[in-house]
Amino acid sequence: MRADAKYALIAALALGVLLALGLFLSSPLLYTLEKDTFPSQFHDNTAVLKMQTLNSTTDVLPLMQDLLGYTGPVVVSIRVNNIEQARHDLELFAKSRGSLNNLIVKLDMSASEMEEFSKSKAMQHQLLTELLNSSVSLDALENLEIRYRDQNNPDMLLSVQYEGDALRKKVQELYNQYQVETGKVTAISTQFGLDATDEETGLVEFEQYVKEIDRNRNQQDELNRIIDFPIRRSARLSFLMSSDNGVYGDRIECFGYYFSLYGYRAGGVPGKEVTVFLDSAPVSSTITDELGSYNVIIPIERIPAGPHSLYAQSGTTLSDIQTLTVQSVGSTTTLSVTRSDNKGDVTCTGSVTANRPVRSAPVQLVWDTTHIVETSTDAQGKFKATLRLPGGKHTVVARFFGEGFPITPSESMPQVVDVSIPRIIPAYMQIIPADNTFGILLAVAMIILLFIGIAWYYLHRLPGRGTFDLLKRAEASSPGTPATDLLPPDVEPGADEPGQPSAGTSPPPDESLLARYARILKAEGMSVAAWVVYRQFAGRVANELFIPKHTALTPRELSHSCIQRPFCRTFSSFVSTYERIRYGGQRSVAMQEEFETRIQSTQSELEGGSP
Amino acid sequence: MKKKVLSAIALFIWLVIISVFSLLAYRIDLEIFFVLWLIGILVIVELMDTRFSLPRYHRYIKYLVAAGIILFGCIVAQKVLEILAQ
Repeated sequence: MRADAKYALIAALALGVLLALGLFLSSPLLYTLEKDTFPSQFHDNTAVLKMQTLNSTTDVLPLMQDLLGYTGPVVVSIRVNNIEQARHDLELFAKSRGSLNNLIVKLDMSASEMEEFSKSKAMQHQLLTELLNSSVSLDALENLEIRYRDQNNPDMLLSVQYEGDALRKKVQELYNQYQVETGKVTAISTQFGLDATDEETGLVEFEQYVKEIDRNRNQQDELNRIIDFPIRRSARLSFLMSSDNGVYGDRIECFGYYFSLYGYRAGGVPGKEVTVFLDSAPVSSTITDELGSYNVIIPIERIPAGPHSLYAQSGTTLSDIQTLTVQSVGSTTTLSVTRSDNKGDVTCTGSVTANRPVRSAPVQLVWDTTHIVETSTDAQGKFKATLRLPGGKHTVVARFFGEGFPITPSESMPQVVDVSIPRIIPAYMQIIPADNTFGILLAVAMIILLFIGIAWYYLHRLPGRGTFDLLKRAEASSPGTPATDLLPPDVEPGADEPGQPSAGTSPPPDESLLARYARILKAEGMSVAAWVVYRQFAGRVANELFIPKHTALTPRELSHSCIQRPFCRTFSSFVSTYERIRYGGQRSVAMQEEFETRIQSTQSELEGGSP
Repeated sequence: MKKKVLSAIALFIWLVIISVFSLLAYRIDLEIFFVLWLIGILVIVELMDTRFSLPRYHRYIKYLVAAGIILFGCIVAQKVLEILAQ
């Protein structure tokens, strides 16, 4: 391939890349419309999305119909205890739901019935997932129940039954919510003419499942009643509570007595470690005193509302199980927001109280309903957090969800904060009078002029210029004597010229031009000495006339370039004599005398013309 | 290979690298692209500079770089105005 063709190809490729970039600068197309997931916010190009043809009948309805067919099989799988199948169906349900969501966003159908349908489906998915988890837990509890019944352990049996009751109650609540969501889905489906039979089947199956687990519970109660638990123990542990119900912040005092039976006598056993369990989880531990009694305080803090089993255990000895009912109380969340500082930081302080301050409670600070910052209360039920807000008016709300606490959720009154961030000009720019139009224009003009100056310097800079500054310094150090070592630092003597001075002839400091000429003349001959003198004068002339890369010019070319300066005529004569010695091979005494005369005259002219 | 060819290839590779990284970062900024191009061409021109001669194409590239420096000055002035206008 020819060289021109190569350059043309490279140029065309570069131009093509630049043009392609230029086409997409305003709206970069970083994805295809067929791609239904957006990996970053930069892909959310609504301008392109709106160009897509809106056709809800062909795009959305089949997907909605597909979604209607998932819930029924999931409930059936849970009911027949086919957990793997239920999980698999739930995954498919989630994927299909994601496709519908993306389609709704693409078709700009938010705030429509489609959006409502999607939300209900999301809720159904969540409810079914919880139902699946509850079903697995119920199975595990049933196995435990059988085991404890076989072990003849009535205390643990009761504890497991309590947990089972809580789960059944939860399943009942899930069913109630599922019923509501299914009602919404069925109504929307009917409106769009879709077949919602599977939805109704799923609801019926769900109802059957709830009835079945209640029936199982009743059967187990019957079974437990007819079992005779023979109790033969040598040691007993009693367990009593100060109150069998409480609210958040109450302190339940639990106490009891560890004793051994010796025939008809009972004696307390001191030094025994006793652990108190709440819903089968240890909450406190203590040692019996010299009489065998123990005392434990259990504060009601992060305990969900509802009945809980409490019992004590020491080694293999278990106490009777007591039931503690925790009642839910209302809460109040307060919030106050300070004024913003220069950076837009505002400090949010507040508290969460039920019947008393709520400790270590998670609090969400929500500003403009979309941005959430998490914090938590301290031991006094107070929280404090700093938010950095952009300029403008913002609404901040503190929310306490009460999850895990026997406290109802609450939300503070919305606080409106007006953030004004003052204009901050960096210190190095404060020299510009920002409030004066003329001053700004002047500053801009100066900046542009500065860069024009840099561009001018870039074009006209002379790589060898520093060398000739050295010349001037040498002249200053020894007035009346020309500088001696004038070769540019990046030019090795004779690198491009035969007959250069040998390496051993390095000039001593402060050696004058004539002295150097004489030394080289004696050591290496006329031609080399003449070349050294020419290079010195050539560099000086090029410096005066701003001739770049003068070493690329022949002596005659340099002589012709020298115009409109007083030293040009003398330099031209010098070059003529130099050429006769260097290239003409004339080495006579007369020629040497003439050359030395030219050296002196050129040197005096150059010194006279130097600034 | 001639310096002229090498410099053209180097500049092309440099532009491709800039473009690829801009796309990877999901950010195509013409100003950043221009400044990076200017830096690249400044380095390339200095590296391809000859000692004793100034070829014509080299002189033209230097004119191009000088124009780029002036344009860079305009970008700086624009940024200053943006900061002052905040």
